[in-house]
Amino acid sequence: MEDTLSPCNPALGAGYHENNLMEAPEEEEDIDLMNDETFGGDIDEDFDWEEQHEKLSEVIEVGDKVLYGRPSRGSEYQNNYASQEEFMEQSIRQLVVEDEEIDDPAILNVSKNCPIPKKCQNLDDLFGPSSPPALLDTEHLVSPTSRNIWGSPVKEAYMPPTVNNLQTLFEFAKAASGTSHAKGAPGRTLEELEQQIVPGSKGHAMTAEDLERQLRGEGQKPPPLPEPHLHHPPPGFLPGSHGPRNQTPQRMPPGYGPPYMPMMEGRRSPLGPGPYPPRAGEGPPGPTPPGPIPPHLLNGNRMTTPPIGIPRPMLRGPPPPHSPYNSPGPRQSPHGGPFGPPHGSPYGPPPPGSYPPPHSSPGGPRPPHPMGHSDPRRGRGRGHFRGHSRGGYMNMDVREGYSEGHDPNKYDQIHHQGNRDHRRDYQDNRREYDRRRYYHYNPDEDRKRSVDAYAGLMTQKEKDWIIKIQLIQLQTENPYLDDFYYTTYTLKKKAEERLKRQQNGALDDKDSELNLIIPAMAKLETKPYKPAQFEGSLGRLTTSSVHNPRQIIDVRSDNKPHSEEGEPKNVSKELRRSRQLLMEIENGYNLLLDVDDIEKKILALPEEARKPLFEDRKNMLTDLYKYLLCPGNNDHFLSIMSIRKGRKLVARVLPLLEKSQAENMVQLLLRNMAYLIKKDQGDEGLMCLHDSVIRVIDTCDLQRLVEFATELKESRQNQSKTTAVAIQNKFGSSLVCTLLHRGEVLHANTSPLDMDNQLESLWCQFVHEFAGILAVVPTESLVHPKQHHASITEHFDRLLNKKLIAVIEDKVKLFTEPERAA
Amino acid sequence: MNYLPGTASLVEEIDKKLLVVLRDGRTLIGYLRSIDQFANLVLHRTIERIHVGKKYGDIPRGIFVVRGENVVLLGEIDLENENNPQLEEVPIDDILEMQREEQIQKQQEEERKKKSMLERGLQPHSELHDDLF
Repeated sequence: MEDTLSPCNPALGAGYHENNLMEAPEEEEDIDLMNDETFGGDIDEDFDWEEQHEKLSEVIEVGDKVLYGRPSRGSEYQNNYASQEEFMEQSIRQLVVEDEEIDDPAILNVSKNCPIPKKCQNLDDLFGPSSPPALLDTEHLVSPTSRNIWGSPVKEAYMPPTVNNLQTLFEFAKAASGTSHAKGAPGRTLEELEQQIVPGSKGHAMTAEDLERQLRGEGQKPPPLPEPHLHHPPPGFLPGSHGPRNQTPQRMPPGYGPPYMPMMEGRRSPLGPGPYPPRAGEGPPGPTPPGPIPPHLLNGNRMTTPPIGIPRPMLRGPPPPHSPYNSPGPRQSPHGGPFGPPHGSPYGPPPPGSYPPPHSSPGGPRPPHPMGHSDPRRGRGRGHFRGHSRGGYMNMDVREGYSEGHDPNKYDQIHHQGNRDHRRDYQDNRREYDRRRYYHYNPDEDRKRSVDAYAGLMTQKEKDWIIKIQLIQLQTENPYLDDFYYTTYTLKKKAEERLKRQQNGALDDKDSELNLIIPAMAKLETKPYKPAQFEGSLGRLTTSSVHNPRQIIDVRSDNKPHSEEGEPKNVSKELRRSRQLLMEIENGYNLLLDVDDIEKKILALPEEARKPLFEDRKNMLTDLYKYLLCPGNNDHFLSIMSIRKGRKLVARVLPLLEKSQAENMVQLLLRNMAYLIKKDQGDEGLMCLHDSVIRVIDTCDLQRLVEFATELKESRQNQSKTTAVAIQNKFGSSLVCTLLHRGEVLHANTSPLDMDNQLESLWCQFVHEFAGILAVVPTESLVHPKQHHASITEHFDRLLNKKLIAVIEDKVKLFTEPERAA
Repeated sequence: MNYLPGTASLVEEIDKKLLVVLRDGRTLIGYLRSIDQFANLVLHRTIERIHVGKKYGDIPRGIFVVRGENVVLLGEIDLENENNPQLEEVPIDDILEMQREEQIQKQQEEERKKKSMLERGLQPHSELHDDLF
């Protein structure tokens, strides 16, 4: 043996590492099971570890019972309420003592006299810019309300008076349940449920306040404690909550958070996950399972609070699981200081229809949430219960009172007395909410009052938000396109208004100009977007976004009508050509429409923005003009004129063109008058041009006039004078008439000195010629012009000699006198 | 309406007692408490009213949140006249029974029609019921 044990026994492979092994006793007999190495040396002989262990376990068990209201793991899970109560009573007594021993000044201060910070102080800390971001901030974008939609509603001034007498509560409950219409939903009334849980123990439960007061020996009411994170529901839990109402005073009693941590941690170990496996499913039996929430929240709370390390008193710990429906059990409440009783209540039987969301999110960030679930409800209750009469919904009171009975037993001693008030508040709110949930059809007057109480659920801010969204959807760049009838209707109405105002007293006529304000467009009329360019950078940095994507290809659809004439090949080509002509005329119309649009847009825009539009308009019109005129290609114009649409197009374009352009066109028209008239036999299709042409002629100067006249004189193709042909056509005769009229006007308005002699003579020539033609052409074939001008007689008088006048006198009457209805 | 003439918005209907018809044919009566941009509705003190013939029955439902796309129409209830309808109110069970019977009858009718059409060699025309029917 010794050989083998010797350090460097080569036979056994001497090596350093193996020496330890070597040195270890090979045979078990040598191992001293209770030797110093194993169990530590220097142990007192008297020290009996088994004894110690037992004592320790006792302590632990008591602690467990005290804290968690039930025997620690290993012992039976007690569902019996009666025994539970006993336990509670015992442990409370113990706890009282414990509590007083806590020396931590922070905690003490909190319990005694901490002022309630008003409104949103802590909100800023929690949700302000310095607070942890992400979860909370998104609400800004989504919600109409200011910032915290997760916060609890503002604590309302009105609180329904607390009912201390449980007996009365029960009576109310009876009455209420009696009148309730709802059958299946509330299911068993509160009473029934209570009966089920606590047979005959109706009178035992006491309110938290009662109990506390008792214990304190009827001392004065404790100072109100700031409501803790009660009002701080877990993010993600209650998306529907309204912000303003949820502006909870997130008051955190200064010393709350940290001091509880050690307590929490201490308590955690004995518990472990064992006793309360998170139950996400159905809880204890009940018509509407309230149970699951508490335990499962409990567990969650317990588990997650410390790790999260949010310096809030989230460790309020799990809510008291016991709603009367629960196995009265887990008293894990001690953790959640101020939370105690309030926890109990909201986890009471939720109303039939509205099973609370908690179920859905077992895993949510635990710390704030036990309260969270109740918050919105509470919030609602608070918000709306201003005028609420207590008579209305009493079901809740019963339940609440009942559950309160449990809570105080545990909580009062555990939590500081200061909690009382906010707890009560909380309960009150919950009561309100629950009352609301358990509504039934009261007589009308009650309802009238209650309806008012619920009105205003939606704040004006929220309503505005919705309307804003709707308005955004109505923004449009082209109102004429999106809703033509509405647009014209509003414009008409505005015009009427303006007219009325004008009649009453033309005051601010300038302001109420008839323009359709298109704000969306005004914004968009910016310079073409130029992507940002960086100096000194290597390469071109991309700064594209959804709204300003980088331009890769310049794709622009050109709507210019191409005026290429197809090579005349065969008949089908003819067809194609005519079709193409039609297409081109269509394009011309499109251009006209664009011009029209621009004109409308121009009206709506401020001065500066109009300039580019003017440019566009001018360009478009020039294009159109060029297309129609097609210098050098008379036939094109003629072919256009042979189509009715084309004529219409010309008629519409003419007034829009610039003077010179228009006059050119008219000249072209006159040049081809003979041809056109020939084509127009019996159709009078040219009349559509009448008004536009007349307008042009009426504004032309003498030179132009002479040019026009010249056109009429010359006839390249026809034998007969163009004029002669013209006056046999309505359009033609109207034209001639207008020409003469214009001539007279010009003559009348210009002094002989200013008149250009050459032009004058040319004009005279024309008039003479015309007179001659008039003499020749038989009266029957003459056609009345559309407009007569008496001035023609004067003109003739001026320019012609008497003899000639006499000859054509009758015929002149055609031009000078209104057409007599035949 | 304050903001936009010529438009309709549910904002004016808030806190009014409305009758809402859903796509599945249900009729809800309740106080409109809240809306959103999708016309989702929050109805308070809702009752579901089932009509069969000249009779109707009410089922109190509590608070309803209705998804906007499921609403066919809604209208304000005339509070003065709502208490004297020409219809007769019956207890809920009865009306449910009646509704069931009505459904059965309709189905039978449909079946007969279908059969007779097939007999005549025609395709039984399937009416486009609402998807929820």
